[in-house]
Amino acid sequence: MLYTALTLIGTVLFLTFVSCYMVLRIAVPKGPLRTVMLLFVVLTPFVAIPAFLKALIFGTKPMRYNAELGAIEDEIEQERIQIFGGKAMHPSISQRWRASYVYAIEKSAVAAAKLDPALSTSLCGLGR
Amino acid sequence: MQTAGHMGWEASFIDAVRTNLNVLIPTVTLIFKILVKVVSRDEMKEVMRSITNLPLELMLISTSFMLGALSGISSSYANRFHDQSGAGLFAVVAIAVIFAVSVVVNRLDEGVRVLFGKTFVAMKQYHELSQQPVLPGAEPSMAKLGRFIWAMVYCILFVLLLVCSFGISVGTLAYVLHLIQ
Repeated sequence: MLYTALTLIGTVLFLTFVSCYMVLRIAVPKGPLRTVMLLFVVLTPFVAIPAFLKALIFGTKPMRYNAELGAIEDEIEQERIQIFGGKAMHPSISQRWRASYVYAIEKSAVAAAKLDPALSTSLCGLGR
Repeated sequence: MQTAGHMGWEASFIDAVRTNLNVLIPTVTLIFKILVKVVSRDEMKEVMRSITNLPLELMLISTSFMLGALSGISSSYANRFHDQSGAGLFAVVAIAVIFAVSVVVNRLDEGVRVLFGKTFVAMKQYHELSQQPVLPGAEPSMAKLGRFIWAMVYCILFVLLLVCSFGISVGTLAYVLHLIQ
């Protein structure tokens, strides 16, 4: 049973790494950038599990939304549709990021207003 | 004596192949696909599409094995059940479940293809910006750095989706092989 589980995990990781290597060979021209991306590919499965567990137990801190990065993603998406075709991804990653950031701010504002009712008037009525 | 030695080696090799089919089938399929695409010098989009389709193809292989079990090819599968109708019913239910899981795998593969496209474009734009002349002492531009950040984000999401997709398909194949072997 343990042997089967280990071989399955090994196979999944091997298939993922080989697929990613083939894809990155196409996407990233030769150079140190490809090595950096491959390093990310190798590390991601091992880092993802502890990060997921940590997020489950302790929750996540919202990352401040950056509108410039959002605009860059829109440009990337437009060119992707021109090259590969298909529909635009909606909501995009940056739109989700903005929505989750706004939600986290609203949530903390409501929590702060509950603690101190005097704050609710200065928080644009979020606490009401 | 030599013949007996050869037979021992061959027998252990065949035994290893038989017990590790769940590893061999996905690996050999991937290697075959890559070799065929490289030899036939396919376009970049085709190579990418072919590789990202592999999890769905593994689900189709699982369905083929279950169809084989349904038709009575595997005696060890039939021996797991009290009667033939129970074995047949289980195979039909398993095929229906594999179909439902294949729909999920297909959605994941679509996500993988979109993320590949995004990674490709982000890196393309990054290289175009890198080739532009920069004034000495100028701060690094957000446009260039932002594209690299997005490429890394897409790459991480791409890996996670691939792990999920391969995990589901390889797991399904291993379970089907466990049933019929």
